[in-house]
Amino acid sequence: MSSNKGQLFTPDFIMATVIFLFILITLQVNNYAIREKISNEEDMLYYDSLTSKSDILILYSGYPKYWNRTNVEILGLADKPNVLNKTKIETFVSMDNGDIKKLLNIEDKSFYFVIRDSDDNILYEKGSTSWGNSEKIFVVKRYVIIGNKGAEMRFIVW
Amino acid sequence: MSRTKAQVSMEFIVLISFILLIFAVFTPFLWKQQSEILSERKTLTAEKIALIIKKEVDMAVMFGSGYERNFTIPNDILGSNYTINIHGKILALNWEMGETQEFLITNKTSGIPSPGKNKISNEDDVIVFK
Repeated sequence: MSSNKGQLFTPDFIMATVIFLFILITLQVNNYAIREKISNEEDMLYYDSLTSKSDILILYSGYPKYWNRTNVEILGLADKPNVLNKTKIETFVSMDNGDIKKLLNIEDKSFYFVIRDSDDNILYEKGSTSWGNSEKIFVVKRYVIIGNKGAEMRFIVW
Repeated sequence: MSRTKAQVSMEFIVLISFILLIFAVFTPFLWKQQSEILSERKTLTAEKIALIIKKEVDMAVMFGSGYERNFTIPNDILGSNYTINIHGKILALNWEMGETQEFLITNKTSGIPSPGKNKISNEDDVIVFK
């Protein structure tokens, strides 16, 4: 009689439950891994997009070619590819942060733009450096020429 | 003997009910998870396509008038057909149940890229898709 009572919780049932739970946990772990991969790919895509924006800044003169704060349609700081124009950089750093974000389509983010010379002195900077509590920071580093001297441009977005 | 048979049947029903209950609870949850993942993958693929087009436009703008190039974008987004529209600077990709947008650097465009092979050119600072 006692063996009949215990039929529901037989080793077979326990084994089946363990296998079921194992499959369920495996599915969850797999789903988590896929979501992580998607999230990483999204980050890489955003970084790629940011690199493309910085390309335009350092490779293109902007539109119109001799743009100023009021008529700028496309931001570009270059005279020639990687050779930056001082006047355009000065105009860029004097612009309103909101206008820059709108033109670069980073309105939902904060940014910091800095150009340093080979001795690490800051030549130009724009934006804020309050990325302390941000979850994700994207940094694009480019080497440029300003007035026949090499410099490093960093574009940080978070 | 007949009492034992009845007891086994009862246990069988309880067991089947328990299994059905587990399936009833977990199946919608797992199905929802899978469809969310598929949706996220489709959005990611659409964002990649939008970025390809954006980069082609960037290139055409930077090279200037006279630039011409062929490029190809996927025919579908993980099995879903999609359409592309451009309104001003906004490039929009639409597919079943989803949309993604990318901002182009210029609003001077003519024509619309389509899934598959495309030709992009810069004609007097207007970016033309054929």
